This record gives sequence, C-alpha cells and structure tokens, in this order.
Amino acid sequence: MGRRIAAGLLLIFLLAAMLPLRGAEAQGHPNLYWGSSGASVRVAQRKLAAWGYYDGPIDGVYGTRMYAAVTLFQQRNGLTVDGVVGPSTWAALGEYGRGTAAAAPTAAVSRSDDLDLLARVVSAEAKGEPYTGQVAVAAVILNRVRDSRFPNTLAGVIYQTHAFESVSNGTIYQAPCESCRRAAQDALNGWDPSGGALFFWNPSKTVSSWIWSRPIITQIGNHVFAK
Amino acid sequence: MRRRINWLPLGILAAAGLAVWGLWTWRLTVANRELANTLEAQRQRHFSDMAYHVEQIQGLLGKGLAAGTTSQNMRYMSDVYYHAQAAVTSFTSLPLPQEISLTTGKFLQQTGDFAVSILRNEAAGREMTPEQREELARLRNESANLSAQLQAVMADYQQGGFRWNPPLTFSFAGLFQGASLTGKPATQDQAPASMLPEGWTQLATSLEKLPVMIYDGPFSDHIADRTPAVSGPPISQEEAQQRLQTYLPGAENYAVAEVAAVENNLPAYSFRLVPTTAQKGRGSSAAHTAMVEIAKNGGYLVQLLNSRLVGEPTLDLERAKQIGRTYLQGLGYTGMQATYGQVADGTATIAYAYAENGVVMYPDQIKVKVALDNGELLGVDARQYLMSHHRRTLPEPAISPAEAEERLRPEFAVQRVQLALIPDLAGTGEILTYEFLGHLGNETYLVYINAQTGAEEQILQQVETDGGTFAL
Repeated sequence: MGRRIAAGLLLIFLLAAMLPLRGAEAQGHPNLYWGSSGASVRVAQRKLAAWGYYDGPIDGVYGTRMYAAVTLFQQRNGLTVDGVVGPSTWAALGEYGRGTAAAAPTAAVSRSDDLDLLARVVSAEAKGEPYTGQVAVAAVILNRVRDSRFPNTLAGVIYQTHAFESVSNGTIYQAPCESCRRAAQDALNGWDPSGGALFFWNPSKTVSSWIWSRPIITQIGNHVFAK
Repeated sequence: MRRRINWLPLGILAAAGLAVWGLWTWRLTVANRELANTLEAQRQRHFSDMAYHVEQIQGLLGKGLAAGTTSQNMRYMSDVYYHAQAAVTSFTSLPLPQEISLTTGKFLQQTGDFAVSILRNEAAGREMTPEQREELARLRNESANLSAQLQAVMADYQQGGFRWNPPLTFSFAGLFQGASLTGKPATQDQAPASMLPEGWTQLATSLEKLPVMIYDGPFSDHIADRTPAVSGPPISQEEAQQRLQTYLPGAENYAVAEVAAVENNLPAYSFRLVPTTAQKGRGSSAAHTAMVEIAKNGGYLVQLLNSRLVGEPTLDLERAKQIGRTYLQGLGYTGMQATYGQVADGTATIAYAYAENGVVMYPDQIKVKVALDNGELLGVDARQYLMSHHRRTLPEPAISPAEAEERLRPEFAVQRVQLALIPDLAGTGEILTYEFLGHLGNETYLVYINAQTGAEEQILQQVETDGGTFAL
C-alpha cells in the first residue's frame, strides 16, 4: 500500500517536473531586445524582412536596424512600442510554439484508435448488408465528423443522442463482424460508396417523415443514403 | 377418493415468490430512478452550459468588433473559438430532434470556425476586411438572438420543472404501450420535439434562414458543392458497363448483380458485381463482391472496391507500388508518382499524385489498394483527381530552394527538397511550395514553405509504421 502511494507521488512529481518544460517548449521563443543574439533573432529578422520592415542582414544580432524594424512593426500593428519582441509581438509575427501551427480546426480521425469503435457501429448497424453497404455506413459516419452540422470527433458523432439505434439498444457493444472491420478500414482510407452522404436509413422501417425530405444520393442493399 | 389440496405450503410458496418479485421490482425501480436522475442531471448541465457558452460568444463577438487593436481582437477571437467548441459539445449531448440540432449545430460550428479564420489571417499580418467586420456584426446579432431565446427557454424550464426524461406515471393504458419504449427509437425521437416549448422551433427556423457564410474556413458553405474538374460528354449505362472490362481486373469472372445511380456533385453509375465462379486457390470461397463506380460524364473510373478476403502476404510494398502504377498507366494516367503507402491486413494502400516538370501536384491524387497475396488490384479511389485535375500554369518560384531552406529551423536536418503544389488549409485554393523532408530529433517531418512568399504553410509529421509510412 505504502509503495503504491510512493509510486503515485513519484508520478505526480514527474508530471510536475515535466509541466514547466512543456510550457517553455510551447512558448518557443525568448524575449528579444537590443543586444540579443541567436537563432530566434534570425527568425524575427526573416519575418520582418519578408514583410518589408527590416532591411539589414539576417545575422542573428539585434542591432540598430532591427530596433527600428521592431518598433515600426509594433507601431503599425497596434502593439506596445517598446522594441522588445515579447509574447504578443511574437504572436503578431505569426510565431507561436511549434506544432500548434499544423493543428487545423477541422476534425480529423486518428486511424488506429478509432478503427475498433467504427467497426462496432458498422457491425451493429449494417451486419447483414453487402460489403459496399458496410463501407458506405462507415463513410457516412466519417462524413459527419467532417461536416459542420455534427460533432467533430468520431465518438461525438457516434454517441450523439438518438443518432444511432445501436447506441440506444446497446448492440454497439458487441464484437464487430469480420468484414465490418475491413469495411471500417476502407472507409478510413477514404473510400466512400455513399457518395458523400450524411444520413442513411432503412426504408422498410418506420422513420420520421423529416428524413425523407433529404436529397437522396443512392441506395445500397437495404439502406437509402442521403445528403 | 378425492385428493385434498394442501393450500398452506402453496400459499407460503406463492407469498414468498411474490415477496421476492416485489423486492426485485423495488430494487429495479430504485436503480432505474438513480440512472434516470444521473442522465437527467447531465442533460440539464449540458443545457445550462450551452446557454452560458452562447452568452459568452455574443459578448466576445461584440468585444471583438469594438477592439481597437489586432492583438486585442485576436484574444477575443480565440475565446470565441473556445466557447463555440464547448457549446457544440454541450449541445450535441442534448436529445433534440435532428431538424433542430442540425441548424443550431451548424451555426455554432461556423461561428467558431469563422473566428479561427480571422485569427489565422491576423496572425499572418492580414487585418480584418470590412466584409469580415460586417459578417462578424451579423453573427453577433444572431448569437445575441440565440442567447436571448435560450435564456427564455431556460427560464420556462426552470419554472415548470422541465425534465428531459419525464418519469413514467402509472396508467393501465400505458402498460400495453410498453413495447414502444425499447423497440422504436423513432417515437423516442419525436417525444422531445413535442415536449419542447415553442422557443426551440422558432429558434431553429430563424437559424435555417441564415444566409450562406463565405469565409476561408473548412466548414465554409461554398466549397461543399464544387463541380468536378475532369468531365466529358454524358454516357449511357450500357456504355459504362462496357468500360467495366477495362477498369475491373479479371472482369470476365464477374457478373453484374445490381446497378444504382449516385446523384451528387460527381454523378455516377454504381455497379455491384459478384464472381461467376467460386474463386479457386487460396482464400475462402465466401462470396465477395466488387463495386465499380463510373462517372456519368465522361465515363471515368471514380471508385473501385473489391471485398475479397486476402491470404498470407507474399509481396512487399515496393512491388505493390509497381502494380498500382502499371494499372494507372493502363488507364492512361501517366506521370503519377507514389507519395505514400501503408500496409494493413494483407493489403497495401498507396497514394499517387500527378507530377509534372518536377512538381508534385498533391490535389490530383489517386489511391490504389493492392492485395499482397497475389498482387490483385482491390481498390481505386480517383475522386480527388477527378475533382481537381486540370492544366495549370504554375508561377515561377520567387525564391530559390536555398532561400526557402533558410526559413527552416536551424536544427531541422533536410534530407530532400522538391516543388509541391498543396491545397491551402481552407481547401479552396492551391499553393506552390517547397516540400522539405527532414528530421527534427527522431521524428520525420514534411515542411512546406511557400515558394512565392517564403511563408511556412504546413507541417506534416511522417509516421513510420511496420506497414510503411503515412503522414499525420
């Protein structure tokens, strides 16, 4: 028992020790002022030169010309004119921590973690359907993740209230069928027999009249697919 | 002689049975009530949270309009994005009928996205345009409306003791409707709609009438309905069926089982085929099917997917790349260059992009899936190519590769550089860039530097897996 607590404490210390590190990494660049030198100065010089504020050499040394460029940039961008490249000036230069730059607001689905979840819905919703129909059902779910009218994570779309019957009746928690896994994989790799559909339903079962107002794209097996 | 029934033990047995049943029912009721209350609490919380976030959004949009400086505005825009995301999360957890949830969800999502697109522009030194300010003002009005209506609905709810799942009340008639509770989610779906006060429906209709939003974000309305770049004269279903011979390897072994139309911005005939003879050799004889989608305009191959179960792999990714390239050449797609490959479950999925004069055009992409047991081609996805391929006159790069390389981090060890055309983040335009493949520490990255302005456009991380590389 004592050992477990110790291990827990150790973990907390490790995490605590990592936090400031991560913070520093995210910040990316130090504050720059007259006399600063190094790679970060070079980054700022390149940016300012590209936008026509700086006309000196890209030498990594913060000198007179650099000071003139920084103050002019700050003045034009409504920043505090102090000649110091601090967090807000870095941000205005378009320099945040690395890594955040690539993160687009569009939702993307990570491949391995989501395969099982996707396979289970496909299995619960389209077990008896032709293979193409199974891929299409998986594709509809992925299309929803990308669409602005639905949540933008896979779990968000699947567990959205009343979105899928298999979530309401619990069949989603059963192991997926073999072909459903492959179908989910194909859909994750980009195949979409549904033609970009956002809805599917079985016309022989009772569904709301509202759903029939959606423009139908195609029919595969027992399912109708619509935008 | 008549046997006398001994009522006493029977009575005790019945009473005991009744007691057990009663106790069990009571236990169930308690557990049920606990679950219902937990769910109710979550929904009430999500609803209140949503109202809170929408209130914040309208306030922040107003501040963003009033902000005198770009940096100040950026702060508000990032807050708008955060609250919009949070509002979407809360909102989608509520059991609302789809006709309401679709419009409201879209409004919230687009508001957040619009804020991000402004933020991104401002970070790149481009200030808000008058049109964007106008759009922002309009969004502020709409969100103020939404907020006011939500507050009204919430006040209603709180006074009336509204519950998302009203507890069951006993009635004899209700006993016989029991089945509808489990069997038909459709009726469950309808219940909240009728329960909801007028406010919601009004709200949904007012949001439905919102004009189309134009901005350079990924959820922008105007990129949803693009038309294909590669097109041709319309062909008949019979003509399309003849092309199956060219597109589907081993087409003679398949028979058409079903033909369906695909009606979207890339209209097509979708053929579903089944093998005429049981496949000999490895694998199971389990009935697999093949799907081939052929464009109505021009008869191009749109998609192909064969569901055959593959056996033990005997080929490697390199061989699969050759098979894919040969197949594409056979269809007349020359100059396709493999850009990445991935192996999973005995198949290789390889992406090819059109390359011309040493420039890789990533928007013109065709994906191919090859079985690694016998090299059979199992899948093709040419939609991206058909949507975007056209003759381009690319500008001359304004900066040299060496100048572009100067813009990279000094620690980034460059391995290879080539010119590449990539789609912009919004998906509306294309950018000519230098693609640098290199290492930072132990990780492999692709960094894209704009060949005109030198701006860093995109960073992708390349993940090496057992089955080949793919980009994140």
